[in-house]
Amino acid sequence: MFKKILIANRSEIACRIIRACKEMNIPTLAVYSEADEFAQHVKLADEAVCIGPAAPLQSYLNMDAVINAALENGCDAIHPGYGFLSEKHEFNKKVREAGLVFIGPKPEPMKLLGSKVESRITMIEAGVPVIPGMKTSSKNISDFEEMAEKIGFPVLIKASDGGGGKGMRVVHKLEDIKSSVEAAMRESQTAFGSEVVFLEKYLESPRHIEFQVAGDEHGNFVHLFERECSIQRRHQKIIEETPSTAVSPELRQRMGETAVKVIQASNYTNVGTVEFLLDKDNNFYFLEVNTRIQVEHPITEMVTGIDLVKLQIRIAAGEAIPFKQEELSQNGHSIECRIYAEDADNNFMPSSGKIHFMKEPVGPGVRYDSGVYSGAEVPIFYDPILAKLIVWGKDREEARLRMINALKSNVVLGVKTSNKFMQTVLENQHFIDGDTCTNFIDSHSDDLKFNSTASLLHAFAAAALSEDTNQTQTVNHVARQLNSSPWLEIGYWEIAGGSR
Amino acid sequence: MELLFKTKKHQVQPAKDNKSINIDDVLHNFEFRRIDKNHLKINISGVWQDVFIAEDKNHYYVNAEGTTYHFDKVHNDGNDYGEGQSANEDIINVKPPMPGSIVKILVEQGQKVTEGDGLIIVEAMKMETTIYTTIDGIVTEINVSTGEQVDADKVLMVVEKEKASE
Repeated sequence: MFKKILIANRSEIACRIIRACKEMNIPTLAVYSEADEFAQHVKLADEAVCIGPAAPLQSYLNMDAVINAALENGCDAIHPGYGFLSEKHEFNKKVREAGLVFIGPKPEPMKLLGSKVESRITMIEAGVPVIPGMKTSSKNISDFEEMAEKIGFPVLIKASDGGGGKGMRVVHKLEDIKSSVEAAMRESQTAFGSEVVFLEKYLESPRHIEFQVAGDEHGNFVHLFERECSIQRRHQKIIEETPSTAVSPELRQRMGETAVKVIQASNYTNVGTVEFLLDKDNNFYFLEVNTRIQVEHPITEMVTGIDLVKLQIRIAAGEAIPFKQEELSQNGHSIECRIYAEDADNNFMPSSGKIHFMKEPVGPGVRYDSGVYSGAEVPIFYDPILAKLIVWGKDREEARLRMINALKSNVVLGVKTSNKFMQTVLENQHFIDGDTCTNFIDSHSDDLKFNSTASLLHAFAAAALSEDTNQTQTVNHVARQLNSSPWLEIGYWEIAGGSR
Repeated sequence: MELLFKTKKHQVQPAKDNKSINIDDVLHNFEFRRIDKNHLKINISGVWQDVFIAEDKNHYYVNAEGTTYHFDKVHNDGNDYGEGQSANEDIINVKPPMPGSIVKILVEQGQKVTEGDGLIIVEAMKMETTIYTTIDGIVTEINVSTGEQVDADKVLMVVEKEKASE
């Protein structure tokens, strides 16, 4: 097993990986930018080293800085997490050339599958169904315009090297193609260091169904069932669940077999995710492969009992997958809500600042994967994910009710979160019925508006009491504490009366 | 005390005996327990709720029953320290939605713009946002350049309604 692992990431996923390493008795090295000196992952790791300024390109995306940190501090492996360098095959290759182990697939399948354009071509050749659209990318705006007119609006512009909804734009009319392609290229350049984008038909109301897969160096390939990630805003998932209400045992088997075929064909070794869109008639289309750990991996862990991060580390160390396909089953139901620093009232605009206070939910079947703490700063430079709230229940309804209660007791003060918004989604009749699709939030936006003022008076009162304690330590507050003196027990008083 | 919630100011005053509280001129039965600095149990009109609170210079952040409220403190100098654009519809001070960097400036000083025209693209947390003008007018000031890091209260540019020709 590895001597020491460098975690090339930040926030909750870095903390998640560090915890897995601790349980495997593997020492960890965190890397951080100047903006993250007091970040949670820095505190949690055995050692930590600063690799550059706040801007991601100069720190978390700086390949040489990360590799040098590993070499100078006695690490023999690098775990990239998700985002940042995790799907960069150039980084993967450089890590290996430096004599280190990259915890993930080999660079070749990563290059093939990580590119939406190239993997699309491969899948078409392998007979896997894909969405109509451009076969390859182009720098020529007129190519985008021509294809859009041919397949009809709306269309979707996607970054070939993208993920997590970054660099994606839906376009409804021809005159918006140019500005949208340019914006997607810029976003993709900043986030992924590549400006290759392409265009495909935008499917209306599909479900997003993905399959967790794993392969090892010993010829074993398995899938760990589906995750439904249809609840999205800005093409970014916020609520995920497994099993999906749309997937029958028969469909599960067909999609699972297709997912395994995809990674087998590309000789993919390590943990990954095959994403599909599922239309109303249960036709599924290959979307892409994520060649890394997913944000929403915990829900698979909750229903299968398998620790996917430890599995990644074991496979990277050359071990065989310690279970067979037929030994796997889905036990119960799991839901994840992503706690982002964002304003649900203002188009989910990111919110940065200081977390003045937080209190995590607890209880049976409740898991909280967090990268922050009371007093932590949320810098403007990075993805605004703060934490993930995951619940497990014996069935979907138990999990749903458990999640609503957990969200109610999830307190984050100082930055805005979509905590309340997600409660509203989980209480929506369409969600209760399992009637979900990727434009769920847009199509039910009127029902999802909350003007909840049920607790507003209580909130006002708390502010007034808080002001009280700031200005004068009034006697009444003290009187409620134990061990106070008789003078304090008599309640509000003042010498010689008069008005306050 | 006075609090600004969204666009409305509210008056909140607990009675001296702390057995009632006056909120916007309505008196409610009131009781509370202080658990710690950030946690109170509050009973208003017979309903107990757990309430969590934190504050900074200009805001109270309060969570009750799963809902988080942001209140602006109304300071004695009469300024509410609230955010947002200038309310005057003849002139708009364009501010970013949050701290970020300037990706692209879409207009030039002196340029005529009509409602809905894009003015400037700002990026923060890996997301680009285009800010549009809400009035017809002329770009009278541009205070930033491409690549610049800006705070949320920075006036990026000013758009003014054209004065009717005399």
